[in-house]
Amino acid sequence: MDLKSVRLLSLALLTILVAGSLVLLAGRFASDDAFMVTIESGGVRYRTPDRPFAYTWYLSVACRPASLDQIYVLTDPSIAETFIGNRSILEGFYVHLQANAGAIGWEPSLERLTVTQMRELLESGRPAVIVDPLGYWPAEISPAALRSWIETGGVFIWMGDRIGAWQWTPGGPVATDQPLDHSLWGRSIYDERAPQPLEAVPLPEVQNLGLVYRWATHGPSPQAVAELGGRALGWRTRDGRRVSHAIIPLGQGAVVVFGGRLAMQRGLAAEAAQDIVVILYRGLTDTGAWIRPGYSDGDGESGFWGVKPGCPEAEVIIGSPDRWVFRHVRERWYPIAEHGRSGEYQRR
Amino acid sequence: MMERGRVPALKAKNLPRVLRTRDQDHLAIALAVFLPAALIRLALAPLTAWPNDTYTWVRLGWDALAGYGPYDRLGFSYPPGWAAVLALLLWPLLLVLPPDRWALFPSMNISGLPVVHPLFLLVTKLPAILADLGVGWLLYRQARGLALLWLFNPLVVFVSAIQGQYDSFVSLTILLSLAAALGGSAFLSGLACGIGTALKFVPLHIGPVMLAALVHQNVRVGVPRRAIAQTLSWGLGGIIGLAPALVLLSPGFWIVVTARLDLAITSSDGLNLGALRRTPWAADWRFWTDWYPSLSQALLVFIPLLFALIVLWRGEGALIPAVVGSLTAIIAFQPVTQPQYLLWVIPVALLSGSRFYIVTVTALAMPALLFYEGLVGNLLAYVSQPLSMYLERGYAYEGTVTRYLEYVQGTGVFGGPVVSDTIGLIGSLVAPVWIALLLVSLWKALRGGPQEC
Repeated sequence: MDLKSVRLLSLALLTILVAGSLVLLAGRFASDDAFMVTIESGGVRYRTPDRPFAYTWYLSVACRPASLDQIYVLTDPSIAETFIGNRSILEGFYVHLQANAGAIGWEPSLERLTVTQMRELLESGRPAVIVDPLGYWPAEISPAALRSWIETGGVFIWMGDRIGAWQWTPGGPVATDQPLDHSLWGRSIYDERAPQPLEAVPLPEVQNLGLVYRWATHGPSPQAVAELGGRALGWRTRDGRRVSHAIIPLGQGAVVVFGGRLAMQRGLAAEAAQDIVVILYRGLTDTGAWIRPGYSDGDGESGFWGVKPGCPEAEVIIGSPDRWVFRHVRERWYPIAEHGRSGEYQRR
Repeated sequence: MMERGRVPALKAKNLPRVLRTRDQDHLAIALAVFLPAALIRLALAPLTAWPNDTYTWVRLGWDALAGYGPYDRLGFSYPPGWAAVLALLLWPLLLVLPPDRWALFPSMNISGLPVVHPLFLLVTKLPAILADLGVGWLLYRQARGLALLWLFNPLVVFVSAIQGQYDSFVSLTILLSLAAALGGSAFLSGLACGIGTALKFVPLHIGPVMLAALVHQNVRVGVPRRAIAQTLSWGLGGIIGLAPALVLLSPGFWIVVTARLDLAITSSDGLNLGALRRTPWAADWRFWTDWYPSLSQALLVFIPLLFALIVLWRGEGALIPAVVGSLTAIIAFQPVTQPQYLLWVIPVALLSGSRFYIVTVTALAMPALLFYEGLVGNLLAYVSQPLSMYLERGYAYEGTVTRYLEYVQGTGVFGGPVVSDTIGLIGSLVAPVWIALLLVSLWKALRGGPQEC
């Protein structure tokens, strides 16, 4: 074999590798345009970045309590399996939550939770976010404890088929005829007779929000969600009787219900984690949040949005959920009341 | 320049007559070999895909455009070299195809995977296609028939042009490293090994074998000091080859690698010996759960080192069987063996000139393709989703995904889930082949050359 060809091909490979690495590094470290938002009297001024391609963006104003920065994920190792069988997806989901939050510069407190710790947290009444990605409700915990905790400001995120329809007992999974929606709202949040189709189509822009988990197969009914003062987001089945995401208020808190399991044919851990990060970062557990969708053909755009927050913990968030942009920034409104006037909020 | 015939394995007379390159070969013959090989691949590349793999490249591209490193969003779990290769292609692609069109999410998306755009597929498969041709060229320089056996091997065509994986890129680096070692160029051998390791970890395992050959060459001629210099030169080459990729590493890399390894080790199987665990006769045998994962990991390290020692003892005459044996050990004992990993060993096995090697690795294409078929039920329909979706030809997309779902919920030959049983069946059929390849390689290496068995 001739060494001339070996030299030539090795040099070509090395050149490709060096050039590609430089391209990636340049992309990471190049100072580029970014989303910007500033709070002014009577609204917010925003700017979207220049990019060589089109992207969608959303501007939102929501009442966002600090407790959304405290996230617990139920991954109790004593629970042998998730609803779809394989526990290994839980670790993937957890690290994707970390990675997605880290990507947009958000550093919430993120911890794994056992059933015992979950019960203690619920009993403490301390508001936080609990994510149950198992598809099972732990039978050792009373739904009433969950309800009380949510009413004091807690946020519960459910990923699975019908909420709480399957419980995890020390002996394994057991179906129950008293699912969590009945315990929490005294009624079903599902259209019981709706089929479970595999197809999903996007909800209107202002509701779709660029959410990437598309399963509405087992999702709640948008009509029931609306009747409970909630908001349907993401995707819907073609007949419109199920949605992929629903946020339903309960007292001071809320429940976020996904329209299906953490995994179907493959892990959906990354998609679910991205959506949870976006929902919590934007404070969309406030079902009265203002949302404004936008689209850029790549040119940066500046504008003013006349909007007033309705609470003392309001935040303005702008960003793009598109993976080829995926950046978010936020700004906090503080009440002017602290400075002598009431009823208005300003940037500090 | 390496002397022809210096290593017995590379003597043309060792090859079957049909495989030899004759001196009067000219451009027309080269074109007759390479042009059809290239055209077949270029025709298949845009219209076919293995969605699980090609969508990973899409995600990587999107993350790169967003300014994230390959591992920042945990969407990429390969060594960073491939991310660098892709990044180089995606920016020019951006000029003609905006990122929102790189992949299409059909409303009926049961696999949870989008259908990737033909142009994106063509561009991202180009490196592997060129690597196919590069390997073919190196083999062609040795013997025309060897190039034919590589370029028209259906598994090689499938992996690079249809599946969209880049294992032939790794094969190229292994072959370059081997050729350089045989030619006495320690630096080039290390360089190719380093580049290969930046792409997939496998060349790292055969590094000691290459190094052993170089050390032996110098010790044999009575210049041990030169052996040290050669070792340092090999190491320097390796570092230079690996360095461009190292700068792309981040904590996310270790997270994804650890997560994948943990998962893979606990379910170690595929087209390897671990697949025996999925057969009925192994179901209650705790060996597979309690012992095999650790044992296979140990063998993965021990066998290449054993071959390195043999090369150190027997010299470069043992190099090719030692490399074949080491690669076989890696394929047979690594946590999960995907069929495309066979590409790592095929070029070296062809280069050996051994009929046993040539026939065995060529024949393995059949079970490998059946393995793919067993994973999805209808391979042709599954991989032609881009053709269905973008050109509305071939299989109807909705029918494909529905049948796929029905298939994966079906029952296999052992009465268990069909995919699991397929892995068990084909993996266990191939397992004796790996053992035979290992033993024959050991025998050949100990004999100090690739003699016929």
